[in-house]
Amino acid sequence: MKRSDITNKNFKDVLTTTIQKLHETQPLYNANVTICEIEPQLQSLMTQSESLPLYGVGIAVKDNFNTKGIKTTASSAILDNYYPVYDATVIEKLKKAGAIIVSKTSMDELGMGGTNINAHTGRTYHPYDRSRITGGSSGGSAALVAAGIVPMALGTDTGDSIRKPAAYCGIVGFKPTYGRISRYGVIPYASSLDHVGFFTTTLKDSALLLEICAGRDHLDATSLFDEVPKYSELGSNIKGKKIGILKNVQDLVTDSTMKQRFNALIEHLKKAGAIIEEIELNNDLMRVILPTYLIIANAEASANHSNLDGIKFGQQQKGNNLEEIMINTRTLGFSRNVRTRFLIGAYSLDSDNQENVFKRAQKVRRLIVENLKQKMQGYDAIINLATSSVAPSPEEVLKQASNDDVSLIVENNMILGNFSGFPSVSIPLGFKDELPYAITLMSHSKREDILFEIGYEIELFTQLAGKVKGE
Amino acid sequence: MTKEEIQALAKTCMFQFDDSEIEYVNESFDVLYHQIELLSQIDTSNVEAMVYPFEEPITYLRVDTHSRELSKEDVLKNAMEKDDNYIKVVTKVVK
Repeated sequence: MKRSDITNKNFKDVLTTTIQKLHETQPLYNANVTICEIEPQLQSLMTQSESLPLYGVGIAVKDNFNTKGIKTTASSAILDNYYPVYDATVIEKLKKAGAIIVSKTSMDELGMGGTNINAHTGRTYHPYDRSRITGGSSGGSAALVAAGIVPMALGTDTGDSIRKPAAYCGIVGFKPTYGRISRYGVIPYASSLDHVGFFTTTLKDSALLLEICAGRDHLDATSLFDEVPKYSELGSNIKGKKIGILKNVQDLVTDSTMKQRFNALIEHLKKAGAIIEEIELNNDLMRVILPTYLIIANAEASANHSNLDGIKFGQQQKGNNLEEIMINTRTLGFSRNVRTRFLIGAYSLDSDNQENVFKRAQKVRRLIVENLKQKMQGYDAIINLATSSVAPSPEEVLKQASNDDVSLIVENNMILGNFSGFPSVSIPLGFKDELPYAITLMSHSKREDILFEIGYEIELFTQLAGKVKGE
Repeated sequence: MTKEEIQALAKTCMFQFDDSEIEYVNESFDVLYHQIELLSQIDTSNVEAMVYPFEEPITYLRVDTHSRELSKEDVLKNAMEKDDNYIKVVTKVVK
C-alpha cells in the first residue's frame, strides 16, 4: 500500500478495512500493542482542509511515541497503564497533516533489542514467515507496513532499529540526519544515538513524511535549525554521483544470491552514470562498533530511565516506604534483560569505571566517526548489503556467534549512521527463498536529498517499490 | 561479580534480581568484560570523548515566553494514588 492509493473519496473505507485487518491479523503477527479508536480522530479531521498531504491516511506508530489519550507503553510492563497527556512533536505534525493513528506498535522493551522478541506483549512475527524474526526494535511497525495493512509507520532508530527490520521485512526504512526530526515526546533509549524515522513501501512516501516531520523544535535542544528542503519534489538524479561500496561489509557476505543481485545493481547504477569505487574503513575500528554502541547506549539508557519509578505515572507496586515502592515497581516493571542492561550502564558510569569504560567508548566513537568522514570525502554516499542474510529465526539468533567478523562488522554496519548522525536508508533489493533482503545507503549529514536521488534509481532497478506481502 | 556485588549495584539502580537471574547477569557481564577488553586495544590517547553527533556550540537563548502548561487534572491523571492536589505515595511519613 502506498500513500497515493488513498484518496479523499476512499479514505474512510480504507481506514475501516485497515482497522478490520489490524484485528484479524493480530493473532498472526502480534504487531500491535494498541489498536486505536479512529472515530474521535475522524471527527477532528472533518474540521481540517482536505488538501492536507496525509488527509485521512492511517499510520502506525511505534509505542514509544507519546500519543495524547492513547496508551503508550514502550512495550514495557512498567508503562502498561500510562496514558500520555500530550503528543510528541512528530505526532502533532502528523495530525496537523491529516494523518489518523491506527495502531501503537510492538517493539523491544524500551527499544533495547534488535529482534522484537523482548516485548511485554510477546514477540512479533515476520509477515512472510512466522518462524522468523521481524528484527527490532521497531518490529511491529515494520510488520504492519510489510503486510500491506498500513502504508506508512513511525519508528525510532538507535542502532539500526528502523533500517534492519525494514531490510528483513522488504520495505523502505529511513533514518534522517540526527536532529532533523524532533525527539520531543519520544520515550528515549540513548539520547545521543536516537533518531525518529519511517517505514514506507516507496522512497517517495519517505520523502513526503520527512518533509512533514522535519524542522526545528525548541522543545528538543538537539533539533536542527536548518530549513527543510522540498524532499517530495526530488526525482532520480544519478549521473555523476560518486558512490563508495563499503568493502569491509561486502567482503564478508558469503550469500551468492544476495551478492550477485548486489553486483547487478552496481552495474545498473554505473550504466545510469554513477561513478562507483570500493572504499575501506579501518577494520579494527569496525570490529568495535558493537562494544562501543552497547556501552554508550546502556549507560545513557540507565540515566534516561531513572524517572520510571511508578510514582507520577506507571504501574506502581506496593511498599512500606518510598524506596520500597520504587524498588518493587522497577523490579517487577522491567524484564530481566532490561534490568541487566541498566546494570551494565550503571557499571560503566560508576566513578571507578567511567574513564576506562564509558569515556573510552565515547573516544572510540569519535575515532570511528573520524575514520568514516575521512573515507567518505569525495563520495556522495556509501552503499552495501544491509545484512548478511535474510531474516533469521529466534533459534538462529541465539546460535549466532557474537565475536566473528560477520556478526561484529556486517550485522552492525548500520550503527555507523547512529554514531555519526548521518542519514541512512535501507531499500529492498530482492528475495531469496521468498524472503526479502536489502541494501543500505548512507550520505553526509543533512544530505537526505542524495539518498532520495540515488534511491529512486535503485527502485527503478529492483521494481520493488510499493511491494508488500501478497502483491 | 558476586551475588552481593550485583545486588549492591542493582540497589543503586533501584531494583533487584532474584537468585534465578544472577547467572544471566553474570553471563552478560562476561560479555561486557570482553567488550571492554576489545576497546582497550584501541589507542585513544589524545582523543576527546564524542558526546553527540554534532558538536556545534549552542549560543542562543530561546524566548522565555509562556508556551504550554498542563492542567492539574492532567498532571495527576497517571498517578496511581492521589489526594486532591497531591500525588499520594505512602500513608504515613512519621513513625
